[in-house]
Amino acid sequence: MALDLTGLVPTAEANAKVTLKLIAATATIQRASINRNDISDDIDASGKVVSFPVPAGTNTLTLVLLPPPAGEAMQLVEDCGGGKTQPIVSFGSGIHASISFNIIAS
Amino acid sequence: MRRVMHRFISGALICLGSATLALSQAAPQFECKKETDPFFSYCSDVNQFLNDAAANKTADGKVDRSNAQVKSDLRAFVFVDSDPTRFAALLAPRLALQAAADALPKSPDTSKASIAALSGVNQNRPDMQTSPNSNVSGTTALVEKAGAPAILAFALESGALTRSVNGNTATLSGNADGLIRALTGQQVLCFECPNSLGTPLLRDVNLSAAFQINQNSASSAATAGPANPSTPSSIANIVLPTTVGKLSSLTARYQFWNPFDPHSAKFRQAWTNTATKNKEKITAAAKDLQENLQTFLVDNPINTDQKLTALLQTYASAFYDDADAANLNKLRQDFLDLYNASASARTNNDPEFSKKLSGVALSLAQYKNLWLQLLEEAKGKPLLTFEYTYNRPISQPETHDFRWIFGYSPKGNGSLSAPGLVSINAAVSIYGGTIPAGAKYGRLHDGQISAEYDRPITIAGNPNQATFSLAAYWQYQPDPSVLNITADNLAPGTNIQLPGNAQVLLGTSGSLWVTQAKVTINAKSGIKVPIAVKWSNKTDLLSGNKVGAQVGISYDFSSLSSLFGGSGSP
Repeated sequence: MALDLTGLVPTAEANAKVTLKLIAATATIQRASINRNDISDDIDASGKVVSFPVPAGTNTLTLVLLPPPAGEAMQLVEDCGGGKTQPIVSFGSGIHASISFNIIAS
Repeated sequence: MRRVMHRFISGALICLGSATLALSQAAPQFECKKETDPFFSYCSDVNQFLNDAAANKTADGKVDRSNAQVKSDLRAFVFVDSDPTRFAALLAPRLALQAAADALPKSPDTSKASIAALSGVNQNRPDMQTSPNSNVSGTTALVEKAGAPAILAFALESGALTRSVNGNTATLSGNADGLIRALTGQQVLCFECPNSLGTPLLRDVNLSAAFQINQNSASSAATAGPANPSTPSSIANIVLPTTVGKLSSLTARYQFWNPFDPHSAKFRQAWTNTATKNKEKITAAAKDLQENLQTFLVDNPINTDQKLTALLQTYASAFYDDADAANLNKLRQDFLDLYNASASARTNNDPEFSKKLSGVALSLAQYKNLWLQLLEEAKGKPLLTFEYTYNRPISQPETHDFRWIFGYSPKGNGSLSAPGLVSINAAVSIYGGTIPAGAKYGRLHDGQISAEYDRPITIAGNPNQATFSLAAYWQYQPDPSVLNITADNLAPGTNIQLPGNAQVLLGTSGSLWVTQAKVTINAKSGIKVPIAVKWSNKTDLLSGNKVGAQVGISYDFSSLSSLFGGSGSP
């Protein structure tokens, strides 16, 4: 697991590779960026997974979603590999067009 | 949803190896439908936090503050910009006018590809009705479409189709729910909006008002006597020529939809298919939103503001305490305090905050507009639209028109990807008010059937730049048209005393045919310019063929809905 989620703001070692997975019935990731760097090419074909290295410093991860046609619960988790995940942010039933959070890497 | 939650919790336990005590315990919950914004927009996240907090307690009965799932629930609302588009939509009404004014010259995008794609998303909607009906003296629409603008549209059109007298008509049209939201300062960029007055019904109600402008008129006035000796003293009254603006028609329409279940496998498949078909448009709109979100979020001084970080931690502890005490009122108030503090911190720490926010709001309005179109396409076109129009033609009796409108895409399932759109109208028009005793005409004014085919055409490589339309219209009148006789339409010098309800019959009964060819240029940012020519075998008051031209311009404010603080709801 690359992310330390002990505190409110996720932290990581600089240059650690993070794999994020969107758990949602219908919503998919359309665009992804870390700071101003577009990482949309690293979104997998299902539109649910994106991987990227985390640069040192305070980083802003931004995901643009295709909102679902009706409200649904949604969770963004870190895919730790081996079928293991840890939840980063969880939304109740709703329609969301984006997710953003900061990662502090040192 | 319970199964999803269980999976979430299990995943968290596996990954962290945490020894959380999971207890089944009824959790206090907010009744979100009764909440208002901004709390409404975060309410389901808070309820999820309360659910998981109740299910994950330590041995002393307190919420397990180290539980990964509960903490991830908390992040959704402690960070009020966890969904930055939600946060922007909530803030947009507050800063709407200033922000839009700041950003209009260069938002939402500057790249040619993006402009082309976005103009296609927002302007190329052949199913959108912004013109007045064919029976006013200034219109370009021979056949009406089933769709309507999400908030408000304005059209200015010139040239008659079935009328003998040409005129200029200004038309305001909009969705009842969108208008109420905009006018009452509620957010309208939301994807799942809190109910406003009768929202579920008003979403499918569209209203419009048409005004005839610069219409020639005349009024009678008493003279104060001759001004020179050569003027006969018998001239006691004269007719003063004037130009007036006048309400020409009021229209209300209701869209009937096929019933659908958004959670059914069939609808989900339709949604997936629609998204796949429109992948390029979605990508372009998402890219535009992404760029504006980056400007809004990245390198913001707020990201390293230690005071705000400490404040967030304080409120996180307060939310745990509120959950322990099951004190929903305090939790709501704590959230509102946090929300306001977070909004203020962002406003105060970034001098360009409003400009950045307006960029997000404008691109979000475009993105939501596309999403609504995808939703319509997945749902299928409206089954039927029923329309009622109260018409007040110049110098003619008022009429009540009842119209049924049907839209159909021959080789597609909707307006976005279909190669064309067929609209079919059937209408009946009856005279309003009292029919004078002994009148030589009946209550029925006419019956109409009309059809139009619209096809997007490509100009300079942009497939959404224009729409070509062909339309045909048939109207049957059992009696000739009725003209009210007033001082305005008496020949000059005529000195006849008229009763108050003097009327004459003009034109002929029977069939009135009109055909029209039209090109609508879809310009950037919601502007449309329809240019049309028509041929008719006669007009309402005069016999004989008539060839005429119509031209107009319309603007759909829905694509700039941040000006109002936001767009209609699904």
